[in-house]
Amino acid sequence: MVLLMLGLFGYLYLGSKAAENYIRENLTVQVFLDPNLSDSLISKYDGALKQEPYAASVVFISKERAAIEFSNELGQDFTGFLGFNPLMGSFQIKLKEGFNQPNQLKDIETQLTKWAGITEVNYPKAAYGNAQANIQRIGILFIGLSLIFGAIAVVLIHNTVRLNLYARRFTIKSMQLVGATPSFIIKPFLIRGLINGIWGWLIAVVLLWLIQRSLPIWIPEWENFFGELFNISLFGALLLVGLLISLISSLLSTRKFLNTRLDDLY
Amino acid sequence: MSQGESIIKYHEVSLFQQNNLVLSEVNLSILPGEFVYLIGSTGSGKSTLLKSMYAEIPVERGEANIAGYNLKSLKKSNIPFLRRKIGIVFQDFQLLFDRDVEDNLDFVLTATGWNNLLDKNHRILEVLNLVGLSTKLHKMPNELSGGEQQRLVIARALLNKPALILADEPTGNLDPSTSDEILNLLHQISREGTSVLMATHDYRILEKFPAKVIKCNDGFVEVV
Repeated sequence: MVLLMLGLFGYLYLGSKAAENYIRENLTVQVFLDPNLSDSLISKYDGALKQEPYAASVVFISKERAAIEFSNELGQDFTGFLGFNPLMGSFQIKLKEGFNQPNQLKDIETQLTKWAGITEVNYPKAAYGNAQANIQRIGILFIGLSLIFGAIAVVLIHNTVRLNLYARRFTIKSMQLVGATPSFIIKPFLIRGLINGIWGWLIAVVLLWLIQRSLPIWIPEWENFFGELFNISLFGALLLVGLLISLISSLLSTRKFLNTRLDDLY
Repeated sequence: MSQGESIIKYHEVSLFQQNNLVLSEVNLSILPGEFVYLIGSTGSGKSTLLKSMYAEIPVERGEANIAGYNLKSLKKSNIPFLRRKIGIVFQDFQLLFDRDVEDNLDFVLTATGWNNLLDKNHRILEVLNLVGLSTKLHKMPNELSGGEQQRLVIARALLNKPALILADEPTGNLDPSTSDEILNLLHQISREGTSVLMATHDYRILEKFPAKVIKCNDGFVEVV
């Protein structure tokens, strides 16, 4: 149950990460140029932009090419209709990872607008900023909820083990009286804990798999963000977490139990 | 026999239960093969004394040695090994009623590190022969009489060839003739070299099977 929740959170978190990366990778800064800018200055700017540390790629789109692309989109040649080409030439800059925080974008904008002949620097401010802030908030929420659920899991397993030990206190007392070592007494409880962990994991994985299969039916975009490989790492991590939680809490509660005097249990 | 060979050697020992002094200045020595009764009214500290011997409660003051283990400096990790030298016949150390005679004994052997199946079976038959239960191997405990159950408990205590048997009222719920049976068995065990310390209320037994008697009284232990 807890693993399922953790898995779902992990799933959504990785999904939002993927969405965030998708937005980041596709983030383009458009730099619009004065129509009268000379070709030599354009090629100089092109070279300079490519030297900038934040530029992953720089593509120059001349106003003629922009017109052709725009005409294709419109389905008719608007330059003939208007008699002139109102579009501006532009550089399309894709940013490197690590240069796409909102304040960095602002710095880039201020820097570039100082260059002569650059009329406008444009990027999807609102969409990008909001998306990022939301994703960060959701991420923190996921981590917080995961921690809470993890703690609940530990408490639940802890109680289960304690009840289990309590029910078998006479057998355990007998074991202690004949001189069984604590590790001998604890072993079966740890093995049971491990088996429980594996069962919980199996159930969680099956449910997660079903959820992942059925989600694209409601949210088609979902599929863009998830490959098959992603399942394996998430499921592996879940197994590890499940085993660790059950093992550690079994160990802690058995040890605590064995250290308390048995007379106190009656 | 010199004092150093005592199975139990207590010198000026004080014992506490939850910070209350129960027994003080306990001086006690039991030699191998010796049979000793422990008497005293309820609450006089008999159980506390026995518990200290199998390290259920710590010895904080004085010197105490059991079967070669110094109880004062005994590490927690060594408690199981001390207990393997002691056979415990206690009221609250019950038989496991969900399994038969053989499995009751097998459980103890497995818990104390016996791995070889043949060795285990051999030892189980040995102790059952000793207590006269060799025909009851596959009986459930509830199919045994009270005396047979108590003999099984003694058989279980003998499994690891202890140097000492601690018995707390082993005849408490038995009729006189069955009690005599158990006492004969315990005395036989002590004649074969295992020390026996037996707590009892039954003065009839003390008269019929005389042996050394120590008494818990007013917070002290005295030899009667």
